Amino acid sequence: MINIGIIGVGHMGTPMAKNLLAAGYPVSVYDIDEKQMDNLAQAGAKKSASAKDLASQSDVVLTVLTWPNVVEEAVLGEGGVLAGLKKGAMLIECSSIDHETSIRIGGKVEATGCRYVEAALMGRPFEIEAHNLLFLSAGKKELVQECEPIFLAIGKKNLYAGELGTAKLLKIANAMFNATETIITYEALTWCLGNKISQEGFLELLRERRPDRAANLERLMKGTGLDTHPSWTAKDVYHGLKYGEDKDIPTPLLATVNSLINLAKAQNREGYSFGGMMWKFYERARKKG
Amino acid sequence: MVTVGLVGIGEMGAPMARNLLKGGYPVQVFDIDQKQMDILSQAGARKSVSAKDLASQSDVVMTVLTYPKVVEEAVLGEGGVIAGLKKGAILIECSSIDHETSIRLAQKVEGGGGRYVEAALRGRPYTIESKELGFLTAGKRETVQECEPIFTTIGNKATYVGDLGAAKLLKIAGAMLNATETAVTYEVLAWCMSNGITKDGFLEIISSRGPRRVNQLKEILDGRLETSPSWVAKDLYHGVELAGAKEIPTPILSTVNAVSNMAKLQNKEGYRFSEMLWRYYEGTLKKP
Repeated sequence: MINIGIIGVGHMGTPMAKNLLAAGYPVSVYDIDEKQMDNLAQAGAKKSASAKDLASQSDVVLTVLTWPNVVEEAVLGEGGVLAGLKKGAMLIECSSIDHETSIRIGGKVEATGCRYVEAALMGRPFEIEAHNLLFLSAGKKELVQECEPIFLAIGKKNLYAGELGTAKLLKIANAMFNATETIITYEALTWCLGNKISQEGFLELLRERRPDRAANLERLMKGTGLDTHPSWTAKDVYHGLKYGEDKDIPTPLLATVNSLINLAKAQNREGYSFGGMMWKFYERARKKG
Repeated sequence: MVTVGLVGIGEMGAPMARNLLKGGYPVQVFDIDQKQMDILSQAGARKSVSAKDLASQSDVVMTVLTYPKVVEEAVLGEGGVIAGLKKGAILIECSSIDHETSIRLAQKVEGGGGRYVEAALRGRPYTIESKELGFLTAGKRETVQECEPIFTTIGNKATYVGDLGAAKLLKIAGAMLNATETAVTYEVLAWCMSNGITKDGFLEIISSRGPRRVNQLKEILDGRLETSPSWVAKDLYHGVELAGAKEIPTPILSTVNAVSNMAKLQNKEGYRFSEMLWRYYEGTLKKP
């Protein structure tokens, strides 16, 4: 079986590594957080001294990091992945980075005789644990196909998005949808309550259109739907808005959505995840109704 | 058993009358279309010569009509429901009318000694036939509860949504959800296209949001644009107006309404709402 290396074993990387171990893959891990590595070592993973060290012992490397500059440092920097990656080995980039950074890294990886696949993780930590993660992947189709068993060992499904850059972009498009749909649900509910329409009436309306959203809303109404699981929706919306601005794409609706998110963030002392944060944001208006 | 009278036995009213007959209710019917009445009389319903005549023989009257004007005429006009409605009898108004008309009708009915329940039908003719119709109901709770056996004989569920007006207002809430989902779909589609994402990739993202939207999107992307009238923009505006009057903060809806107004300025072809918005966002794409 091929050796898999994971760089970044935080909220997302840790359950991903566990799923790979459970599927029988030999897994090496590297993180600046020594404790995270120790945890995984107890579960059977091998610790590495650096990203370079990890890459030199892996056939496939997954980077599961946070920001573009962090990923660039981990891949291109001294002691980074490229310094150790074997010829023909594969880098699957899974971090929340923009498409341009992904394309640039892809070019550098291929220039050294290695291979590159772009992936976007469509799910949250607990969904990885439940084996429900959806991958969006991009790059050369045959390379993506080669990675398919790894995707399926970690998650439940992989969708091929297209050429390099598209997986990262589609993830942002999806986040923009999610954010808008979440907010309009709470706003329309607020409108209904303000017009003396019962909660149950609104739920009935929503159930017919989107049972999934209705179920979420019901949990929030009962006070059981609030959670503080990390979510990246707000960050993705901001990135989407920024790419739009860079290209003069008019996005009046998303600009409003982003402003509301920023207002809600300022009040989110509890650190609720996106849905809970927006739910709380409309709370005062809701209670007035 | 109470006698139920139906005024308006078209696409919706006819299967409703049939379900009541099957449930064992004595049913009176009235429609300006004599043929519809004949068909139902063969199924066991009794024909009336006018709405007034029907009302005078019914304990519960249901109006299942089209526009506010038609309903007002059938209820308030000469030979209308109120002219014949017995004291304490109930009118269940089931037509597509706005909340203001509904509230006005209620006042007149109650002024004449009758009782009034507002209902909105959630379903289509075939949903009634399979007994899956949902009712949204509003008005005095005890009056609505009294009608419950009728609702569950015609359909499978009645959800009480609040005071008079609330059931009809929910339609506006539905239109607002529609309008926002439509607007964000085309805004994100234009964003994707400007960023070089293929339509197929975009459809993947949409497909998790229900088949209805995928089909609609495919038609539009294929250039099949419809010009049929739609009330979404009007309902949206009405909703924002109501929010303003009641000081309900609706930042998203207000933005969608503004986008809708901008799109209207360019809609010389008279496209319906979703087509209109797509043409608007399509116009923002830079041609390569």
